[in-house]
Order: sequence, then C-alpha cells, then structure tokens
Amino acid sequence: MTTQARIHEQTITQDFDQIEAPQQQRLSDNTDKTNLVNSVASSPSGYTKPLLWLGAGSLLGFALMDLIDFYEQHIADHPIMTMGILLLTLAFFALLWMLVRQEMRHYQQLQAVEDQQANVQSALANDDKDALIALLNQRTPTQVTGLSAQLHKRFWHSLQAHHTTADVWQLYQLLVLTTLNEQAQAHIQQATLQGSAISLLSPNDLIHSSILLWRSMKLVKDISLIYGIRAGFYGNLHLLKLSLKHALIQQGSDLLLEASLKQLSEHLLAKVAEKGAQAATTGFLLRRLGLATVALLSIPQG
Amino acid sequence: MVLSQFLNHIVDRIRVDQHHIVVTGLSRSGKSTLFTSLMAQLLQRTYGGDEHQPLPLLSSLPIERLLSVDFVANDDGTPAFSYQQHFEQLKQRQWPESTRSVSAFSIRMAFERSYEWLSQLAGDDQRQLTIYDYPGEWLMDLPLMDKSFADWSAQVLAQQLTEPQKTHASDWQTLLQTFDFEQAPSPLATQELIDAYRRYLIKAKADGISILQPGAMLFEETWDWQAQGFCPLPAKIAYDMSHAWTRLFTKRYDAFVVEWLQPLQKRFFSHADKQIILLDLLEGLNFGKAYLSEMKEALNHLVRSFVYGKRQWYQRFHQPLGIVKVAFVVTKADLVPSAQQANLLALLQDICQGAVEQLNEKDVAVEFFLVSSMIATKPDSEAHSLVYKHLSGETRIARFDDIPTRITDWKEGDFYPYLKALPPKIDAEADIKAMNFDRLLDYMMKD
Repeated sequence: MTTQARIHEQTITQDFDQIEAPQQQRLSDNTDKTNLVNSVASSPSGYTKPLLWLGAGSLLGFALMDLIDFYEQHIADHPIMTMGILLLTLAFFALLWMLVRQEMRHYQQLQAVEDQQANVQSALANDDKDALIALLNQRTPTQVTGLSAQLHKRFWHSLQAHHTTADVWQLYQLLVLTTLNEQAQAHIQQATLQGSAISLLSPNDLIHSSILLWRSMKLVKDISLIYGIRAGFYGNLHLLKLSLKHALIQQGSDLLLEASLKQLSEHLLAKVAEKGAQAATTGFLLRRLGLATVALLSIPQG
Repeated sequence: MVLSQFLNHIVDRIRVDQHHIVVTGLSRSGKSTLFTSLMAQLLQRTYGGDEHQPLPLLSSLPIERLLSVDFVANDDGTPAFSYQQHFEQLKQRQWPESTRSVSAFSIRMAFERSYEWLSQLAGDDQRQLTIYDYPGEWLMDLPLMDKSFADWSAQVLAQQLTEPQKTHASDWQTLLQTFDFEQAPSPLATQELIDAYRRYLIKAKADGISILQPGAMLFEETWDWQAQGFCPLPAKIAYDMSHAWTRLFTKRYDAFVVEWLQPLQKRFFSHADKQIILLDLLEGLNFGKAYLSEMKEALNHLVRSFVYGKRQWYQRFHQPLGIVKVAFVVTKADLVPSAQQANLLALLQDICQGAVEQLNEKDVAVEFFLVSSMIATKPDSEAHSLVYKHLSGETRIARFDDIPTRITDWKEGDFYPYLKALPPKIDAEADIKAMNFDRLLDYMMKD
C-alpha cells in the first residue's frame, strides 16, 4: 500500500510572531474604508451628488461675479472700504462653503446608512462575510470618542479570522447594536416623558405644536448621534421626515385609535381630559417617532 | 453542626444554578489546555479591560451583569486543577503535559439580577460550573462494568485481528499462542503475560489507537498491576470457568470493576447533566482511514458508558442524573485552514453518526463544534493554507488537499500529517485567543 501525504508544507523566512493576522490588516487599512464609503454613498443615489455640487457651484459662481463687479465699481473711490468688504465677503463665502460641504457630507452619510440595511441583509443571505465586514466597517464612526466609537472598537478587537458570517453578525449585535438600541430606548423614554409633561402644561396649541416639533428634532438628532451618525441640519430634517413617514405608515392604525380616543375624551371629560389625551398623544407620537428613527438607523435583528 | 452544614449545602444547591459538565476526551485530545484556556478567558472576561472581550459570543454569561468569578474548592475532596502550573507552561511555549491523575475545578459566577428587589430578596444570581479533568484512557474502561471477563477477553482479542490493532498486537498474539496455559499461574508466569500485554498497550497508544482496555493499565499508579493485574485470555480458556488462569483473572477483573471502575463512575461521571466529547480528529487524519474507523467504534463504545436522558424530579432522588445535552467537539481545529473546516465538520458528523443515533433514541440534544482553545496558527492569504510555527522554531505554510467528508470516501494510504505547532506567544491571559470556544460554552450553559 502506498501512502500519500495530503498536506504540502514549505518553510518561509518570515517570523511567525511578526505576521499580522488578516483581520488586523483590515482594521488598519483606512484607505479601504474611505473608498468603500464613497462608493456605497454615491452608487444608489448617483444623481444627488452632482446636482448638489452644480447648485452650490452656480451659487458660488454668481456670488463671485457679483463680487468682481462690486470691486470694479468701488475700488477707485473707496479702496480701503472696498477691500475690507471684499475680504469680509470672501470670508463669509468660505464659511458658507465649508458649511455646505459639511451638510452634504452628513447628508451623504445618512443616505449611505439608509442603504446599509438592505445591503447587510443581502450579505447575510448570501453568506458573504467580506461584504458584511465592509458594511460594518462603514458604520464604524471615524471619531474615536463616544459610545458608538467605543463599542465599535471593542467589536473590531473581538473579531477573529475564524468567525463565520453569522458569527460576525451575532458579534456585532451583541457588542454594538444591543447597547446602542438600549441607549436609544432610554432617550425615547426620556423624550416621551418630557414631551407629555410639557404638552400637559402648554397653554395653547401653537406652543404645543412648537414643543412637539422641537422635541422631535432633538430626539432624532440624539438618536442619530447615539448611532455615531452626524446627520447635519438637513440630514436631521430628512431623517425626521423619513421617521415620521415610517411611523405613520407602520402604525397608522394606532394613530387612528388614539385620535378617536382623544375625540372621545373631548366629549366625556372636557378640558382636563383633553389635556391628558393631548399629553398622551404627544408621548405616543414621540415614542413612535423615536422607534421609527431607531428602525432607520439601526439594523434589524434579522 | 452536621445538620447546619447539610442545610447550608441544600440552600446552596437551591440558590446556585449548577452545571455539571463532564468533559470526555481520550488522551491528547487537549482537555488540560481547554481547561487552562477556559479559566484564563473567564478571568479576563470578568476582570480584564473593556477593550478586549474574550469569549464575545458567550451571551448566556452577559458581561454587563457579571459581578464576580471565583474558583471555589471542590467539596468532594478532589485535588484542584493546577491552573497556574499549566498557564506557566504555556507562557514558556510548551503545551501542558498529559494528565496522569484526576483533578477538578469549580467556577462560581455571580450576576446582577434584573430587578434590585429580587437581589435584596434572593441575593445575586449565581451559577456554578464544575468540571473534572482526568486521564482520557480511563474512559475506555467504563464498558468493562457491563461485561464478564470472558466476554471482554473475546472482544479484545477479536479487535486485535483487524487493522490497525493487528500490526501492533502481533508480538502479544504470538506470545498468547505459544504460552503454556497448562502450567499453574505462578507469579512469574502471570507477570510475563501481563507485561507483554502492557507493552502492546503502550506501543499502540503511542501510535494513536483509541480502543485500549484496560486504559488504566497505561498508568502504573492507578491499580496494583503487579499483584492484581490481568489480561485477555484465548476464548477456549476464558470461557472455561474451572480453568486456573480464568479463575485467577476473573477474580482480579471483578476486583478491578468493583474497587476501581464503580467508584470512578460514581464519583466523576454520574453527576453530570451535560457532556462535552472531545475528539482529536487531527490525530485520526494523521493515521488514516483505519484509525478513523476505529475512532468511530470507540465513540460508539463510549456513549454506552454514560447515563443519558432527562430525569423527572422524583427520579432524581434515587437515580443518577441523566445527561441531556451533548457536544461533539473537534479540538485544535485551528490546525486546519478555513476552507477545509466545513469538510472537517462533515467528517466529524460522519464519525459520530452511530453515537448520535444512540443519543437520539434517548432524546438527548446533540451539537457539533470545531474548537481551538488556544489558536496557534494564522490564516494564509490562500484559504486552503495556514501558517504556523513548528516546534523547531521554523515558520511554515501548510497547504491542505480536500479532506474527505466521509470515512468511506477516504483512499487507503492517504493521511494528513499532524502539524506540530508551537503554542502561541503568551505573556498574560489577554493574549489567549480561542476559536468557537464561546459558542461551545454558550451551548452548554443555556438550558
């Protein structure tokens, strides 16, 4: 009987203890991550970015032309004043440019997050570990402080080469999502109580509506920050719109029920009951809004 | 005083959720390394920093609620498992030495309860894990309790007629055929037979044979083999109860069962409610098809030696606890590259098939795991290869051909040489990296 060894070995000169595991290589490769963010952010909504740049570029172009015209008209008569105004205007536009860029970046980040849910589910369904890791890499906040950043750091440290796609996902749920979701729930509870209390004390509907809007914006912003997402002003507005839509579509039946309860209370218990119902509705609405925001920013435990 | 101790014991039993896990593994299956790794990682999980979390998938022991981990003394007087000694060995890049005597350790973990009032009322949520470490060779002796000396002799000699045992047993078989059994069993003649049988056992063990009985014979300190030893006899003698050799060896065999095996089973194996069966499948891969078949047979024998099935509450007073959950585990699985691990798992399932069928009849939950209690290799850029540090200090890349998923698919003569990897560089508990260890523990801890 002939024997046949089924392992083929070769000696290499590199020291084993100095070889870096592939997972660590992935962690230290920031270029990879940037490319991924850019590619995913632009791919699903490719027309948004050029349109925004075109708009911002046109605005800046008109402003510059106006500035040049102003300079030519007044420099001869009032050189110092004109130069001062010119510099101030340039500084203003530089700041405006930075702000627009920041808003656009945040808005893009938010759009990428929206697409991630489907991509994660697809990576899980296809047992594509590399795609899942790339997506989770995208979700890792770039800043080093903050709860989300800390949790992500712990997740990346715990991840090992032998982990399967299901392992990676379970690990992410255990080490990151569970804690973030709990934190978000705590914020929702706090917002619900605050919203209800203020609504109960508010003297008229205008104040009530203003408070509800302010608290809703704050809640959405707080929750997005928990998940390590800086959505910016327009991003938060967009998120608020999406969350409201999500909440209304998902739980429209509940809203109808509460509206009818409110109506009922108006007839039966007069003013006190109406205020109570209004407070309860505010609380419910904020809670629903918070949950809808979590559903948008987190990844379902599928 | 005795009554108060008894009451304390009862209260403790009620308060503490106890898990008795019997870790069943033949020798060299990596039990001692597994226990050392388990203790190190639990310590690190509890008292280590927040950045690195060992056993991250161990969701049944939530780190957020874990208050303390204590190693408590075993109340049955079993010597404590020498964690420090084993850990020091690993720090010097040496694998722990083979276990030669029994030791145990109990880990008591305290958890914060979900409700403060419940903590005030009943104290912390406590769970205790008791694990015994013992020489794996002892396990193979448990089936002797259900056999007569004559039946055992016939079975052992029948096994020696086929490979892989046939080659190793040739000297012993020659002696048995030429031995003069008409002579009275003098101490000298008896010793000659027993010594020859022991030489066969030691040689076969060194070459990876699993079914060797009595396994305790490989350890001089377990039993007085000089005065109370025995070995199998040819069938025509063993079944003749009037034969002087049969009478002598039957008496000694019965004494071995009553004085050694029965207390062993009662003390270490009858309290378990869960079981981890460790298999060094890589050793089987190293020796080839015949050895894997023999491992499959050994597993079938092994499963018959334990009590399985759920007990009703009233049965627990007068019957040993039944094992309700079993994990079949391939240890040192990091010595196989990632692309071949699915095949290795399939091969494990094939080898365990007979044992699993027996367990299914008793409604026992079964799961399969590929585990490494201490990762000593690194993945290569190519999925069918891995990188490791050989005992000689050389760094090597090992590329694997496809591992057959069933024993029947195995070609005669094919083998996968055992990779003699040096332990990883370890300075502290945090340096230990394990593979699927958390999944295994989680499965065992969950009810």
